[in-house]
Amino acid sequence: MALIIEQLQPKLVAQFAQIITKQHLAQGYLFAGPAGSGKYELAQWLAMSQFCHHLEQGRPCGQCSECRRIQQGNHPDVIQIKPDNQTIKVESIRYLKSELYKSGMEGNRRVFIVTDAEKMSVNASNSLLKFLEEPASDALIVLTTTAKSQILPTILSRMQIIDFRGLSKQTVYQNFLTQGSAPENAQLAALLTQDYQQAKAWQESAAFNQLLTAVVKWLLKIFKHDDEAFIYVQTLIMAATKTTEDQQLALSMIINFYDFLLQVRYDKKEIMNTSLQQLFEAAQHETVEELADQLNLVLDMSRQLRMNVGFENFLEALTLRLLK
Amino acid sequence: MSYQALYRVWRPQRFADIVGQEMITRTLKNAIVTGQTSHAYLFAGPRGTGKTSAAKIFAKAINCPNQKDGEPCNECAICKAITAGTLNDVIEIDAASNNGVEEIRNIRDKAKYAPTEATYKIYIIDEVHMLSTGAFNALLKTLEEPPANVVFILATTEPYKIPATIISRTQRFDFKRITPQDSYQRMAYILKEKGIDFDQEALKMVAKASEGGMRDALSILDQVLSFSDNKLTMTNVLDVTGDLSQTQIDTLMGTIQANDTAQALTQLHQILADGKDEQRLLEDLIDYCRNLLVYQQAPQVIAETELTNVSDGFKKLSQTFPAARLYRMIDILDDVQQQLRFTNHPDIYLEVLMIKLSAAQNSTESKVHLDSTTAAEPAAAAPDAMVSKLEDQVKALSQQVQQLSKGTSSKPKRQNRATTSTPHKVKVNKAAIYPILDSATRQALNRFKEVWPDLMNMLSITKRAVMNVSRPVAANEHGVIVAFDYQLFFERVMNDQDLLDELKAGLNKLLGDPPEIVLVPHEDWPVIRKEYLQTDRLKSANGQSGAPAAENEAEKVPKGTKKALELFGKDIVEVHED
Repeated sequence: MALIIEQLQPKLVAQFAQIITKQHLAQGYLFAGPAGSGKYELAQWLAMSQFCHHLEQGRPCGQCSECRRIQQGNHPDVIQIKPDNQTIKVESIRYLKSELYKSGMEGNRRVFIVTDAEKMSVNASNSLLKFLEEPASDALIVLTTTAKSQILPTILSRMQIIDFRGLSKQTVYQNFLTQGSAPENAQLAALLTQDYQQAKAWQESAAFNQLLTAVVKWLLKIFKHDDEAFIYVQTLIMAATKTTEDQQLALSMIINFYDFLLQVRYDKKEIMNTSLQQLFEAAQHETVEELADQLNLVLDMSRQLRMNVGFENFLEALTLRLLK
Repeated sequence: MSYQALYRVWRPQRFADIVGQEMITRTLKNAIVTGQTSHAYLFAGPRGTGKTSAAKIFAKAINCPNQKDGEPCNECAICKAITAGTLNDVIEIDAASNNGVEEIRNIRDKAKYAPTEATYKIYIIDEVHMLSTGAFNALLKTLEEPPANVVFILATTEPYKIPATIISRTQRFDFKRITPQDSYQRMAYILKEKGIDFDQEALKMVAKASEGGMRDALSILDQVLSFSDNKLTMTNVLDVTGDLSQTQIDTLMGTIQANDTAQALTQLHQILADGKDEQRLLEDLIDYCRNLLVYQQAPQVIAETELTNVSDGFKKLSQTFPAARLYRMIDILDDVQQQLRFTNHPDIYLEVLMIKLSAAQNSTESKVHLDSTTAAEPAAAAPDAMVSKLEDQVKALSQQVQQLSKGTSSKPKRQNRATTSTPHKVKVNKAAIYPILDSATRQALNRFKEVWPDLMNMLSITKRAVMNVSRPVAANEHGVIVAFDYQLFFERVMNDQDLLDELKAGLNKLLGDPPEIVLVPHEDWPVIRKEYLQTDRLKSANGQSGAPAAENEAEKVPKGTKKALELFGKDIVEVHED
């Protein structure tokens, strides 16, 4: 059985396989790259390679009991820490630290995987420093992150950093097409995700379509410089965003649609999707600089969301600034 | 035993091994030789500059029975025990994990006891900036006058987080960033010891990418070696560090200089698809701009001090890039670099950046450029420089001319937009009003007035708010004239086809047929009515239409009634003959 990661990041897998055969594996790795680029899968793959009974040229088989236990998250010597909501909680870090100095349950080797490491608090990151510098001899620690720049420089200097390259939107689009998505849907979905399953789920989800129409209507008003956009925030967008994930999605739509509109100016791609076509036509009168400025404004202001500004307040402020 | 990272294997064991901190190591050595050691030290500096290493070496040197010129022997039992971290008298504490008052009390209590094996009891408190305020204050008294034979060494990357009262009780040593040259030397030494061949340019790249941290440099080196089968070549290094190759950055800057946005974006995508790091890309660009500036002023400096070599593309760009534009670019790049730290969409930021950088320069920019050159002229004595500056001026001017001609083609479009977007006075549709007025009846108006509140209730709240200031003022069977109290709302509704459609649909539901809706501002209504009456009179005077029935009737009724009818209209006034 070929593991997913071998298709997702063949080059990195080959490199790691080589390292493993040479027994040159370092003790700490930081996997940095966009969501969906296979960071967690590679971490799991590495963990499997440490325990697999049938290691073949540094590659785990993915089928033996050890590999299966790791895939299911049941292996006692593979410890995974995940953020709970927005942060990695102090309890998780305490648990991690208490585990770091213990020896393995079944063997000596232990693997620690911390996903979204940028969500550790300053305290938590600092308390890991000493361990990362000189880990217990049989520990392998892997941090994954989507935002390398938010990780403490003192941590970065102690880890080997592996940059994962994301897929370009064009490749994602092609992937969706080959997986059987209609060009119209593929073009839109490729802007927002790299995951085909997700794209497919969206296509059938009423909530997604409601959100999409809300965002598109709002953007159309913005391009028309119509004050009603402000009201749409409340009546359309907020009505369609119940959860934080929805809000993230809405923001990602706004940003990526703007980006798309900018891109189209240069590469003159064919626009398949009706919503995108509508936006394209509405934005015709904006110059490239104006669009770029607006996008910059959106990106700039979206930082406020990290500072616990409410989504509605953020959108309303954004609308006012865009309409100015 | 699993593989050990290079930075652990090659951790300095003698003061001489610590690179780039000669001032500090010499001072410490002298202190040990002359026996003038302090009881508390603070080692501060960026990551990977040798703070913890220096602390450990100091612990060895001060305790080693065979120390020579302040260097430990690294062979005696005590030295070995300290290196292995097993000596009871050298206590290394991770302040980030033990940051409470409790832990500090523990230290304070145990500090009282004399050292067991070594001469000095050494407390190395690493990451000391993470101590809580309470913990810092608990440490104060002990730090000021510790028992004899106790030395505290505090190490931190963030000295500004440490209370002044602590700093004043310690001897502070500020560790410098390690220069690329120094870390190059050290890595070359290590590679030679390991018997690995290396490409000098590639090693220089590693040294530059480490940004002053020796540990970073060795981590990168480690990674390159492990990924590339113990060979160190330029491509391998660029793969690991995520830096741009010289040719990549040359061409990218070339397209920016040529204002070719489409090409710049394509190249950006290519670069990102290669897995290059966004932060690195920005740093490389800033570096490049800075190098261009330096090269324009003093070409020999770049060749002498920097680890980069000057490529042909670089030379060409240094001649064509105006300095003012470079300054502006560095400003923009710096801005984006700050913002990039907090975003989840770095690629989009970079796209915007490319558009900004490569967008055609506006005329103010070239003006700024002219100003700056004229200001700089007195300083430039060499005639060659003068000529090149004049050339620059001519270039800038011709660019300006080009942009002007470009600008004219885009201008009309913009003005167009301005006229449509700025609210201007919306014309009242008189052609639609007159037919309604022609056959207006009080009954029809009453009919609309009756259903008006119901109609309002059918609208959404926001629309109702807009329409609340409106009311029907005249109507016939097929149409209604609606007056608005405020000009603003009138214009707003006039432009809102959605709302108009909705109103029509609502009236259709309530009354059974879709009426025509005509809007007028309330303040204009009397004027319009007057105009209508005048034109109507004109018509009747011409005899084109029969005089209205009302007037005919009015002739027969008595004067008082006539006046009343005039004032109130015949629908309200009921004439009872008695």
